[in-house]
Amino acid sequence: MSPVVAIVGKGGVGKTTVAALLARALSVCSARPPHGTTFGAGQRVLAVDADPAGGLAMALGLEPTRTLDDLRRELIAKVQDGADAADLLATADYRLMQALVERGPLALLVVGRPEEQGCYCKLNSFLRRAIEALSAQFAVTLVDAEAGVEQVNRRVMRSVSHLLLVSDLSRKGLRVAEAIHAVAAASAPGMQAGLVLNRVPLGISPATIRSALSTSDALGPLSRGGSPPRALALWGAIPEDAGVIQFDMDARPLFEMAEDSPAVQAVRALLPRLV
Amino acid sequence: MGLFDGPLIEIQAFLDRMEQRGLARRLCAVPVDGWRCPAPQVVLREESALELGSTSSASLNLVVWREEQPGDRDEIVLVGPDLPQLAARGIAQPLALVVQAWVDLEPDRHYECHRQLREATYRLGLRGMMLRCLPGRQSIWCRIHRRSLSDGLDAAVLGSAICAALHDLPFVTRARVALVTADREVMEQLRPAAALVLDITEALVKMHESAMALDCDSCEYEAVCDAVDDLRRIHTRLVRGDEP
Repeated sequence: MSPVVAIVGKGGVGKTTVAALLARALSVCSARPPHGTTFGAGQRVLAVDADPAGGLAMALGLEPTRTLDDLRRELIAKVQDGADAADLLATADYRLMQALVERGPLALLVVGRPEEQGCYCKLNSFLRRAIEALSAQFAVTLVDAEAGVEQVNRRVMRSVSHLLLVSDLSRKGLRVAEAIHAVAAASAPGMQAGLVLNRVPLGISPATIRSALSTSDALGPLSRGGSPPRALALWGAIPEDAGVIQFDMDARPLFEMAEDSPAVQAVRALLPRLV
Repeated sequence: MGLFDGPLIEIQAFLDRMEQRGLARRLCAVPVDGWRCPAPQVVLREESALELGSTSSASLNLVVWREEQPGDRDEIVLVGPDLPQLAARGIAQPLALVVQAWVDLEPDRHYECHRQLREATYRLGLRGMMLRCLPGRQSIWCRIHRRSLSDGLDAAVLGSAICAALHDLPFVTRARVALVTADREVMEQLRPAAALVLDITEALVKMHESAMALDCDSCEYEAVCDAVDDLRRIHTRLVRGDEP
């Protein structure tokens, strides 16, 4: 089974940045496979912008013309018109492929935001099925999830194999990561999960962070306990990168960041954990 | 009289015309076990040698059946260039896929037949070929992976795979698959048949969905039922509760 990686965490910690840079790293690997990974030439990457607030498309420099919610509404209209089940399935398959925005080995699916007020249950359920249908055809799937635990709670992550919990060094960010991990560990015990710290001030080494996580009262619960679901490994630390800030300010896609940028390199170092 | 007699006459006339003009040729069926996959495939644009019937080019997909003695063997007819020659013309090309099945149905299993025949095409999984259908628009969209094209995926493989998928259904006794890859103008000649097929299948679906409640006087398919005896007969039996 190909890996499905969900990038989750509190709002504003940089999930979309991590997702975009992961997509970038995997696309580069697809063109030039590195030593030491099983990720090979020409392999496909599916990126899913599952956050109704959006942002991944811009970070990747792609322009979706159709969202998963557009597709959901079209299917509802077809049901109301009396279309039969076979036609609905065929239409869903067709429109799902049509909704993918492609660049080389990378395809992006954007969930979108329902026009009607209320909860996103139906959209999340639809999203789960779409991820399940598509991910088998891609070497790796990256899901940039909405902030918080909602999509984990709604079992959108049923097919997720890797949970990448993103946080900055704030207590709130870490607490949300821990809460998501606890929910995910209870609903999908086999899922691999790891913490990725984002915007780590320059000069702080991973060893220092690890040490701080294990001793600080504020950060301690994440790595203090040895038994699941509390045990959460630190998978990586992404340094504060002026390049990321500059790209954001200039509204330039992070996908175009230089290979030697510190954030790009730190995200690239996560790949052996995932593929 | 059969359900699709009208469109079948149109389709046969089209194929005869194409044969007379030297545009149609019959292909031999080939083994497809090495090509078949359990699920529909995804092929990205970058990987594609050919993109057939996409939104930028003409596209048509018809599935019809006939309740007759099967007669000869399966048939695969190609109208236009084969896939490797087509790829040399450019990536985006038109495609029409006309699937005819000879069926031996239990009484009034028409809706099931319709559903299963279409699913056999929709769910077709072939290595390195992405096939998607949009039934409401009678559209088909197909991408062929560069590697599969160089491995020998051609119209004979595609046609044979569709025939094989149809024969997986117990009630199919014979299949004929016509692939039209010729110019848009040629494909447009199938539009009258396509319009008839759409009317008949939509009427059939509507009957199945709302047989008891259906008021013929206010139904938009009344004219279709008037023209196709089998539809009227199916409706009568549905209302009586005979249809399974």
